[in-house]
Amino acid sequence: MMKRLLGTLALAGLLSGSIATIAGAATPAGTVISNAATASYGDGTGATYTAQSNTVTITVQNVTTATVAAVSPGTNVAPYQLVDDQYTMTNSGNGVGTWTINAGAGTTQTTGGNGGSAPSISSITLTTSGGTSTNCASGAGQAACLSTFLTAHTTAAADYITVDIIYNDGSYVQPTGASQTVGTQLNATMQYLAANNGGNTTSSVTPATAAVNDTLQADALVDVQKTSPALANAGQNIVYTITAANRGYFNTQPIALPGTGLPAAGIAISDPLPSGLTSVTNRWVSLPTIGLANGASGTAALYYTTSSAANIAAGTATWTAMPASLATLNTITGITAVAGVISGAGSTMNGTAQATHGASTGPGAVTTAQVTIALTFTQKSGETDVNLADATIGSNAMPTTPGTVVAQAIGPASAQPQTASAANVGADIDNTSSTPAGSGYSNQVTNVAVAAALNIGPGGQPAASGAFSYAAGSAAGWESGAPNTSNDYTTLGILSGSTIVDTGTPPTFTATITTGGAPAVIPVRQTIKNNGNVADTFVMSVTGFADTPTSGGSSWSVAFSTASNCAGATSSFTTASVAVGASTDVYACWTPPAGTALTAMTAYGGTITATSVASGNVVNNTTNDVFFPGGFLQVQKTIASVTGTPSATGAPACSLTTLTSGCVINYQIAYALVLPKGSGTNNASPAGATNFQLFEDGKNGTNGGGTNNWGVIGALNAAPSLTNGPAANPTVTYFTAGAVVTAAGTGSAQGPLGSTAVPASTTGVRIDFGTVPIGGTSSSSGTITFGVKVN
Amino acid sequence: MRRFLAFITLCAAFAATGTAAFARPVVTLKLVAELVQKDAAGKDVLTPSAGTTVHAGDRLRYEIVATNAGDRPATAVRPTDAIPAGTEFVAGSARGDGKVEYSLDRGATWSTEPMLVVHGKDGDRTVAADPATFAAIRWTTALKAGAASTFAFDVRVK
Repeated sequence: MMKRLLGTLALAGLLSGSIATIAGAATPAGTVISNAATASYGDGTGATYTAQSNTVTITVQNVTTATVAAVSPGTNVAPYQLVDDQYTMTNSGNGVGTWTINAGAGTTQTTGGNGGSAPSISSITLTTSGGTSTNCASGAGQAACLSTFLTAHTTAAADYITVDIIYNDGSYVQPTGASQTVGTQLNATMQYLAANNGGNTTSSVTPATAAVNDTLQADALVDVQKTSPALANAGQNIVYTITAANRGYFNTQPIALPGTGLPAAGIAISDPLPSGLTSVTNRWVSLPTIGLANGASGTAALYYTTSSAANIAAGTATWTAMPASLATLNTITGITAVAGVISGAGSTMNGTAQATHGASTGPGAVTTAQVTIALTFTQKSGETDVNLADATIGSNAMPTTPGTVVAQAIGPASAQPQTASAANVGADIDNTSSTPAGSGYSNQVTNVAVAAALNIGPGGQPAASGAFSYAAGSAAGWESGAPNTSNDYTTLGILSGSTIVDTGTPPTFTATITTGGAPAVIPVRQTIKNNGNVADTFVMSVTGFADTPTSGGSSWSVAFSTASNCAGATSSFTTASVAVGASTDVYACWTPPAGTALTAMTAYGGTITATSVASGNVVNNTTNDVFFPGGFLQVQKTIASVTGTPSATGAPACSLTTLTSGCVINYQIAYALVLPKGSGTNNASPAGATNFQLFEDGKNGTNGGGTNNWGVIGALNAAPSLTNGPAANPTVTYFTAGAVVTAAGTGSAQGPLGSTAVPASTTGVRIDFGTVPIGGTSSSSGTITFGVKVN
Repeated sequence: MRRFLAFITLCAAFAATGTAAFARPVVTLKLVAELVQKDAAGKDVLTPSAGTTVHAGDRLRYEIVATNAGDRPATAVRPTDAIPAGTEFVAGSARGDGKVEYSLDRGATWSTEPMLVVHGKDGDRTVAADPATFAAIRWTTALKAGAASTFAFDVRVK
C-alpha cells in the first residue's frame, strides 16, 4: 500500500511544479467559488450510505494591487549621458486595470553639486509584455502620449508594462571631482476597470512608485563646437572653426586608434566633409590649421581621409598626414585632428583651476584647454554643385541611443539651429581612463553661411532688366501692358480725380493740374523674388526721383503695402519672410500732392530698392514712373494783324477797328503739344502726337457751331511758323461752302500749305501736321497764320 | 433493485423532513462559509460569507456540520470536501474530531501527510507536499445517533 501511495505521490510530485504555478496566479475577479461537502458512513452491518451538503457559492472580488519596480540597477554614468532607467509596472491584482503615469515621474538629483546642468527627461518608452511599444518624447505632448498608450493597452492580471525613462543625466558633479547621485523616479497608478470589478460600479485605484539612483561620475568632458560666419556671399571665403575644449574635471586620456594611421593622442576630432567641400582644387583656399591653447599639450597634427564610407570617424577610417601644400592634395572626404592631453579642472593650468562641469558656454568662453582647427573654403560665384551656404560639416544627427553622450548647446544655438558634430572618437570614446567610462563629446553649433540674392522688377517680372525703351505702338514696360524682362521699369499714367486747366498764353503754353480732394494714391506693383539660399525678408525704400516737381509745390510721398489698393501702406516697410525661390508682391504707393497746381506736365517716379535683411548689403532696384499718358494739345487762335486795302474808294485804311471790304484779317493759331517729358535714369517719354490736325471752319461758335461771319478765306501765309514741331511742312485742305470740315472730310482742293491759290468758295481749312514728336524734354509748339479777305 | 430504490427514496424523504425514523443512522451535512479576519487581539472573527463576495487573498473557513439524525450510530463517517477551485488550503487549519486525511489527486488517494518523491540529480527523495497543493480533505470518525459534529478547514482565495 505504501509503495503504491509513494508511486502515486511521485507522480503528484511531477505535477507539483505546475500546481505551484497555478497556485501563484490570482483568481480572476468575478470567479464564483462553489463548494459542497459529501460524506460516506456505515451502520456497522456493512451497509454504507452517503450524504450531500448544501452548496455554498462566493464571488471573487477585485484586489487592487499594483506594483512598480525598477528593473535596471543604478549605474555609473558620465556627464551628459543618455541613461535608460527601466521599470516594470505589474498588475498584481486579479482584474484588468489601466495604468496612469503620474506627473511625479521624472528625474531626481542630489543637491550640493557645482551648479551644473540638472538631469532632464529625454523620452519615456512604454512597451507591453506583447512587445507593442511607443516612445513619448519630453515636452508638452508627453503626458498625452503616455495617457493615450496606457488607455489603449489595459493590463490584465499578472501582466506588465515596461517603462524606459531615458534621461540626460546632466553635469551635476562636485568641483572636487566627487560623484553625485542622479536618477529617475516613476510614480504610477493602477485603476481597475469597473466592468471587471466584480460587478461593482466603482473602480479602485492603487498607487505605486519606484526609483533608480545612478551615480554621475566626474570626468573629462569634451565639448566640440563648430562655427562659421553667419553671412557669406559669392566669392567670399568661409572659415569653419572647430574647437574642442575640455570642461570636465579630469584630463583626457591617451587613446590608441590602431590601424587608422593616427597616433595615440589625448583627443581625436574627426570631421566628415560634405561632398561639395571634398574637392580641394574646387573649394579649398588653404590647408587647414590647428592650434592648441590653455593647457592642451603634446603634438597636434592634422590628418585626412579619402574613405568613401558614409560615416567617417577617426576610429574607423584610414587617415593620412596632411601634406605641406594644397598642390599635392586631391579630393578628401574627412579631416581629423589629434592632440595630446587636454587638461581638465582637476589639474592646474595657467595658474588657476579650470572651469568645472557646468552649463556649457562654448569653447573660448572659459579658459579651458582647447584644440582649434580652421578650415577655409571659398564660396565661388556661379557654383552649382554645392552651395556652401547650405553646407554643414559633419552630421546633424543628435544621439538618441541610451548610453551615448548627448550634444550640449553651446553658443548661439537658438539663433543658429544648424548643428554639426565633430567628435573625439575611438575605442575609449570618452577619452578618459577613469572608471567607469566618463563623458565624451558634444555636438555643437555651426553657423550658416548665407548667400542672399534677389530680384525686384515690374509686377510678375522680378527678373526684368534694362532701361525703359518706348516704341511707338508698343505697350511694353507699361503697367497697362505686359511687363517683360527687357524693361525693369514700370510706368503708370493715371491720376484719378485730377483736373487739367489750360492756363497758358501764346507763345508760352502751360497747364495747371489739380488733383482732386484727397490725394489719389497710385499703386505700382513690384515683384520681389528671393534667389538666395535662405528664407529672407526685404526692406523697401525709394530714392532718386526720376523727375521732380517744377512747381515748387509739396512733394509726392511714397509708401509700401502688400495690398493692391495700398491699404495700410507705410514708408517703413519690410516684407514677410520669403522662402528660397519664392516671390512676393509689394505695391509702391505714390501719393501726389493734394491740390497743388503743377505748372509743368512732368512725370514723377523714382528707384524702388529692395534690400536683403539676411545679408544687409544685397539689393536690387526697379524704376517707377507716374505721369499723364498721351498728354493733350493746347490751341489758341488770335488775330495777328489786319492788312489789305479797302475796296471802296475813300474807305478808311484797314485796321482792327476799321474793317471794310477788301481788308485781310491775319489769324494766328498757336498750338502746343503738352506731353510728359522724359528725363532721369531709365526715363523716357512717348514719341509724341500723331495725326495732329488744326481746323478752321470760319464759324464763331465752338466745335462747328455758329455761323460764318467773316466771309471767304482770301489768302494763307506761305508757311506756318513752327518751333519744336515737324520738320516737313504740313498739308492743307480747303473746304468749300457747305462742306463739313472734319478729319474725314474731303475738301475741294488739297496741297502744301501756301502752294495753292485759295479757291474763292473756301469756307474752311484743315491743316495736317502728321506726327508731332515731343521735342527733347519740352513740348512741341508752333504757330500758323493765315489771312481772310473781308467780302 | 426496486426495493433498494424505494429505500433511497425513503431516506431522501427523511433527510428532507427529518421526521421519518429508521433503524439505521441517517447523517445529514450542512456547509457554511465564513470570512476569517483578525481582531485587534489577533483572534479570528468570522463573518458569514456565503452568497457574497471576497477578495483574492481573503481567508475563508468552511464548516461542515454533520448530524446523525438516525436511531443508530454511524460508523466510518467520512465528511469529505474538495478544496474549491480558486482557493488553496491553509496549512494546519483542519478542525474536527477524527482522523484527518488529505488528497493531492482529488480523492484517488489519501494520506494524513501527503508525500512527494522529488527526482533529483542525486537521486529520489521524499518530501512533504505543500498544503497549498492539497486538492481535498476528509475526516473519519463516528457519530452516535442524534449526535452532531463540526469539521472545518480554511482556504485562502488565490
